Amino acid sequence: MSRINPIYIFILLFIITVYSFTITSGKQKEFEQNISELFEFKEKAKTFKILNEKWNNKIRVESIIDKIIKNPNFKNANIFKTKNSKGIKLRLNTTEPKIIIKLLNKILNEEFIIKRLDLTSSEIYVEVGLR
Amino acid sequence: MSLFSSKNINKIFLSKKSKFDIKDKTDLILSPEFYWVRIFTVPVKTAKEALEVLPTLFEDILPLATFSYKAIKLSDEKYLSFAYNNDEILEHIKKSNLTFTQIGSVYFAQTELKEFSSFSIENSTYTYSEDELLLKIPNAFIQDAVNIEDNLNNLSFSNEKVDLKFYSNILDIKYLYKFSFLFLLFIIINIFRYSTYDKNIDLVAAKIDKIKQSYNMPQTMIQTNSIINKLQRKAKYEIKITQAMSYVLDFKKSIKKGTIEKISFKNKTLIIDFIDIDSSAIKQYLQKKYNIARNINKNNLTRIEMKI
Repeated sequence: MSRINPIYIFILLFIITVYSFTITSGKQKEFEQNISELFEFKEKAKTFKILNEKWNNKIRVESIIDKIIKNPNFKNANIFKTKNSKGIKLRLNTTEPKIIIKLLNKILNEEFIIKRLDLTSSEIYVEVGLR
Repeated sequence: MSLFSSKNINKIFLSKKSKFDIKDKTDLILSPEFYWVRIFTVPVKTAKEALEVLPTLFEDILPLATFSYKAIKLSDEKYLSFAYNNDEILEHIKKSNLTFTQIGSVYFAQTELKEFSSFSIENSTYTYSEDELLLKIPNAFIQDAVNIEDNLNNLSFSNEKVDLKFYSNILDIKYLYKFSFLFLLFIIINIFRYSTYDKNIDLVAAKIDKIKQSYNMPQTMIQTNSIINKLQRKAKYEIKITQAMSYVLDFKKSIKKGTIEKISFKNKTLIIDFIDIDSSAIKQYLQKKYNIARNINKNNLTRIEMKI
């Protein structure tokens, strides 16, 4: 025998259905937002990685400087390199101004943090920051 | 099946003139006034099958209205058959001051009061006929009928309950059940969808954490943004220095006379010493792109300081 009005059960189920659609749609929006945040984050992480590797990477800076020093153009030039925690200092004295310009161009073409630079026709002194 | 225990439930006899003042749960015995009863011979094996033909068999007896039916098997192919107007019974339940929620089970008097061959209740007399059908008869016909008003609570009911539809008159119950089933299905699907989204949200968070770890990123986005902005400013500034140097070194493209004696960069200041140069021409050349902070002319030396 019908003791609980079936209409009450129907209404209750209807309300729960509407509620379930509401909370599921809320969750779906949250998920979609998370996905778009993930894509945004991935882009940001990529930028972070590239910038960090270029401008915040001591090992990279030192290895590029070492490559420049070992470049055949400067084979006979005496480039003095000194290093401390803040940066790397390069000094070259030469009677050939062309060598000085070549070294300057090499340094300016790389992504270095130039802290100091002194340039004459016979000498170049550069301080490259490490961070 | 009853949802509640039938023990200690009031038992009352409902006739068309009944009036009650009861608040407790109550089982009802329906007076013969509420139903038509016949014994039919139907060539089927079960009461359920017999039920299907009852509307046709009752057709000539019943007035124009909607009726519900019940069949009780008496012997092979012999069925005690009832026809009752569900809405009419409900109406009289309301009139008797009872509420639907206090009604427990409902029975036909025909099946429940067999132990009394004749009886009286609420000043009406009832008797079982020769073919064992309960009839309401004028009081004068039987003088010594037992008054059963006080004996009802001692009755033991049969299993032949009346399937009274208390609420079916508002909407067809079949559609209610179909829609309810559909709603239930939606609810289950939505629970599944919700948990899937929830799980995927956790996966996204885990993925972000993994990227943070592998790229050695700070925990918060504020810190990350701050570092990115700082590095971007640094990169922009270094490009600016390189461009400034290149522009200075290219001065020969505009000014034929003069040489650079010395270039010095320190504390964001670029100092250039020119020899034998047209001072105003070089100033004009450099000012096209940069602000000159200081300018010194001494003999054949022109010193220009620019803030980068």
